Amino acid sequence: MSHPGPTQTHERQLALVIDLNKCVGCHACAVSCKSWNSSGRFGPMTEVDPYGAKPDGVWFNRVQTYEIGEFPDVETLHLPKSCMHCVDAPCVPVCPTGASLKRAEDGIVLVDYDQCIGCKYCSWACPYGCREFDHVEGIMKKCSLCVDRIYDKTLDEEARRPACVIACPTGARLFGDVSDPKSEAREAIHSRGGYRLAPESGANPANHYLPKRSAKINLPEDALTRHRAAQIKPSARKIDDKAITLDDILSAG
Amino acid sequence: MHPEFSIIILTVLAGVGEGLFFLIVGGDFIDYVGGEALSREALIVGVIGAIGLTSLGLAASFFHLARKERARKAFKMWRSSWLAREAALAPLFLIFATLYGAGKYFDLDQSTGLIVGAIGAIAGIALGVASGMIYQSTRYIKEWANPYTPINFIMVGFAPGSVALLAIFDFFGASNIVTLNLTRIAIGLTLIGFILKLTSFRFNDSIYEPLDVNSALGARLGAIRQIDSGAAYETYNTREYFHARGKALVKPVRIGCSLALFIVPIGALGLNFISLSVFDAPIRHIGAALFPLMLSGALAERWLFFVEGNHTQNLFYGNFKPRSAPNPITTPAKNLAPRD
Repeated sequence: MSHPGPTQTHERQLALVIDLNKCVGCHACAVSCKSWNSSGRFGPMTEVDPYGAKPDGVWFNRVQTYEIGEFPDVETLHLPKSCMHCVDAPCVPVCPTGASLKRAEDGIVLVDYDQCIGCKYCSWACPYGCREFDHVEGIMKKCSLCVDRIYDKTLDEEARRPACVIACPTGARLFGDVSDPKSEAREAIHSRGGYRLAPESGANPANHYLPKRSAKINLPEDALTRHRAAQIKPSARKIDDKAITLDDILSAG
Repeated sequence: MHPEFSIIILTVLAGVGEGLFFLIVGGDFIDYVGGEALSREALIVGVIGAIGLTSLGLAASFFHLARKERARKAFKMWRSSWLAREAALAPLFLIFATLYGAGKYFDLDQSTGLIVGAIGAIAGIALGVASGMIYQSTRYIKEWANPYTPINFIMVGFAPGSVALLAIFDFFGASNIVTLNLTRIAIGLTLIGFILKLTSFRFNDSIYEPLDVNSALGARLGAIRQIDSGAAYETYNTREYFHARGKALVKPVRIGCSLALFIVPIGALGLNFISLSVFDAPIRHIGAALFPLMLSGALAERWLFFVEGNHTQNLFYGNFKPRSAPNPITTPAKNLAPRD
């Protein structure tokens, strides 16, 4: 049985580390993923009836939301879930054509769209449900960790990161080599209790999650009253209603 | 799991074809070593039937592939993928079965024909095993990832295959002793198939799933319910891995397929056996009557096989069979400790 923690392989393994304590469930990562990958080299991520009653389509990344506990003692967990780029990816050996592959140089699991025959076998082999079948194009699709972006020398150094990582407004997503002890991603896993989803799967996922932590604020009893003297009382502020303000000058009417 | 009709038809028809061909070659061997002489026409028709069924199954399998024009790529990774092995064994089986059938048709040397037939029969069984192993190797569907899967694929092919052979020999007016022996074989194979299927039903009911939603999410404490699936409507993930309407029908279909595939045929074949051994008169056309029934039973059995599968990814969608009591036989002791 494997235990949560960073992988012990010394080969390069790029992955995402997602801080569930920071994630607010805004879906910016999912939308930016769709935006980048639809306009990038991988071709459109199919949408069927996107504005209708039954929208259907391919997403590499979905933010799922859960309620933990019994009302009223509940907390909300937003779980962005995309391909885990498993170290022992079970989707790779089952592929009859070799379309499902794991790159030796950086550990990214990819689908060769030109080789895929659309048999769906790889999606059955994935314990996380992170592969989505495009029934319009007839091929399996999944997160590529923005492989067409992270090595693009025409982009600024800052932009050579997955679209979802750049888009996250709370900085909940870290990207890096999780097998490199010096990387920011690995450091975060070590220092903030990074774990993997369903470690019992044996697939050895490379993506890690940083756990939700207690949101209680420890305030001393007198903290709210201690600086009362420093507070400005409303009556102390003099407001001259007749004075000309900047707004009067700039506004036309 | 969502039942895929193209795969149901492929695995059932190819399974029956393999079983039928294996029995034909076996019968031919008994004929060769000096047993009861068998009608050559019946054997030829049997081979045509086996090839026809398997070819129909293969044709159906093309409808499963979303990119049919790339089907030739499916052999490539035979070293690691059971699907590629299945794709490679299917034409091998058909080629050797056709050669054997041609040898019979042109009345060529029987011993050479038997060698070709034996290779074909072994390729056929290997094809059945490869079909089963595709499912046995999906380790995140516990109902599939067990040895009953390939065994049942083979046996569910053998039972209707033996009855098909009985029907063919019946049509060509086989002697009573041949019919009696074929009835014996059919009863034996169907009975073994039934016992194995019942064992596999029992196994499915006793599956202990060590993974739960808390572990999947890494939230070790507390009840969890999903309030947003990450999609406005259904997705591939909610369609492919779960079949709510099918789940409601598991019990009646279990009974129905057991009746059609095993219980009724065993009863009818038993009557035929008694009629033959006591009155020396077979019940005419019993094989022809039973074969469509058994084939529909086999199709229902395969549909059930798909619907009964529970995939681990359903944990993320709140769709999962409630944990049954730990089975001390199938569960390692370390999984028995309470997690929370």
